[in-house]
This record gives sequence, C-alpha cells and structure tokens, in this order.
Amino acid sequence: MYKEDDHILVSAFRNEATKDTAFTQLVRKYQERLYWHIRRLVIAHEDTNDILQNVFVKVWQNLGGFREEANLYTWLYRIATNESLNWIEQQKKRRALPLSETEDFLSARLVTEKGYDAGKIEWKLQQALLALPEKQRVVFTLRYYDEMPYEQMSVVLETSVGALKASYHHAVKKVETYLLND
Amino acid sequence: MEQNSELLNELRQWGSPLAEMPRHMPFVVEEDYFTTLPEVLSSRIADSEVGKKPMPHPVPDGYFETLAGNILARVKSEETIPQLKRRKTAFPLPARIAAAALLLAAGWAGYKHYDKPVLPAQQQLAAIPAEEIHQYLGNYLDDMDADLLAGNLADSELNELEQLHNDEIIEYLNDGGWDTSAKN
Repeated sequence: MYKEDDHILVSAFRNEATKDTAFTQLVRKYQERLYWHIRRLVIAHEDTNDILQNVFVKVWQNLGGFREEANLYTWLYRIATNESLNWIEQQKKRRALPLSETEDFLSARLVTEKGYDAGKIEWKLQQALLALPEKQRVVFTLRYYDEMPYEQMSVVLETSVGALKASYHHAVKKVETYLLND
Repeated sequence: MEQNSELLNELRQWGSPLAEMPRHMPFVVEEDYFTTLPEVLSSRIADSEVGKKPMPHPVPDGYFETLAGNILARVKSEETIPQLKRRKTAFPLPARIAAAALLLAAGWAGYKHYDKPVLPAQQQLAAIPAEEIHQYLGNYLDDMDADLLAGNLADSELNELEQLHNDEIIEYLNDGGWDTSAKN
C-alpha cells in the first residue's frame, strides 16, 4: 500500500525547488531503520555507515524514476539489502574466503564491538545469526527485528511468500539449536 | 501492536523461546550520528554533482547523434589517401650515407686482407720442402696402407711409381684430402 506521506516526499523530490528538502526529510525518516538493517548484516559501524551512505546516494540518483505505484519502504529496503550482500561478497573475494570462513570473519568483528559480552543473550543471538547462510540471515532479521510482513519481504527479496516462511522457520530452529548448545 | 502480536504468535506456535527473548540490538552508535547524517549526505551529493551543471553553450541539433558517423567517415577517407610523406627516421640522410660508406670500406678491407689468391696445386707443392712431404706421408700413411698399395701393384706398376709425376701425386693426395699448412 502506497503511503500518502511517501507520495508527497517523492513528488517534492521531483520538484527542483524542493528536491533537497524532500531528500533530507526522506533520509531522516528512514535512516535508522535502514541503518540497523544493514548493521545486523555487516556488524561494524564504519562499514554500515559506508553502505548506508551508498544506499542514499543511489536513492538520490534513482528516486526521480521511481514508479509511484511501488512501495517506497520496500524499495529502500531492497537497495539496502542488495548493497549489504554485495559488500559481504566483496569482502569474501578480497580475502579469498571460502564459504565456511565468512562467519569467522564477521564473528571476529562482532567480538571487537564496544560492550561485547559473550555471556549476554543479545550478543549470543548475534553470534547465532552469523552462523546462518546470508540470505537466511536477511530473512530472519527482516522478520524478527523489522517485523516485516512476508508479502513485503517477498518484494524486497524477490522470493515467494511460501519460501520465505519456510526459510524463516528453519532460521528460527537453527538459532534455537545454537543458543541451546552454547 | 498488531504486527508485533503476529510475530510473537508465530514464534509461540513453533514453541520457540525466541518469543520471550529481548529483541533490542546490543550495538553502540555515536550519539549524534543520525543527527548529522543528512547533512553529511547532502554534502557528499553536492560534491558528486560538481561538473554536472548545465553549460550555457548551445550545441547544434543532432550533433551527438551524427558525431560517431562523421568521425568514422573521416577516418575511412584518410586511410584511402596514399601516404606520400617520407617516413621520418631517427637518422638523417648524411649520417646514413656515411654509415653505408664506412661499412663498404670495412668490407672491402676485410676482403682484401682475408682473400689471398689460390696458387695452382703444382706451385703450392713446389713450395713445400721434400722433407716435409716425406714427414707428412709418414704421419698419415700407415704401414698397412703402404703394404696394401705395394701388394696391389704389379711389379710393372711399382716401376711406374718411380716414374710418377708430381701431377699424379697431387691428384692422389687431393683425393685423400691433404692440408698444405700441416706442420709438425
């Protein structure tokens, strides 16, 4: 469902006189949600900041051609998700990491985070998420933390609702197993 | 919240303890990060827009559409014009003439030095002392060859050996290969 205030923002963005103001408002509206979505995937603030800025630069470059019948919220999440997954892919290639070592690479970043405490359940949960395959981790974070409906997630990830439900269910079970065995 | 209930109900249906766990993120963010982010972004976008501002100079209609074709036609036409200009080289003409003359002179001198006239075999043989010829034959003609030769020759032929002319000896030696410069 297309939100009225998003429609107003997009229209204002297309007007040269109000473009900058509209963009600033859009950033303020979505920055925190997108920030946390990215950070759950890439862990470190510096990397999150780089990716988030890239996301908004892309929004600036492409919002003029945005189809108004689509949902701005899911469009933004799709850009943020793709940028995050691309970043992870680049890190794997740069480090020539095999699939099994991507978890270690991000896990090593997690333990250096300020306030990290392996004994606390919220940090253990982050470690458990890193043990999931990347796309399954995206599904889990969108559902569990962003409370995104499957129908919207289907647009973001271009995957069927049924597949997403199954993926989320498997992710939940894997996380439980990890936490119980820890 | 409806969505929150839906999420929790889903987890509870699966009997998952995640339904009861806190969902706050443990990561720390700088206090003013979100406050300054829009300005940081605006500045970055402004920098990226430099050089993209419209120029006041008019461009003829259809200029860019026909540019590639015009360039290609020009390149093709230049390729068909014969290249009459002399190739420029690193060495000017006088230097090349001098180098050629030097090479010819060196070649002529080498030719005159190394190319000695070949004397007829008879004159060469006459120039060699008889003692040296005997020594040569002694070194390169073994006893068996001598006996074989003697054995194959009839007495009349042996007598003829004594009547051999230098020409015949030279011919014999030439067949076997001999080196007039061989000295012991």
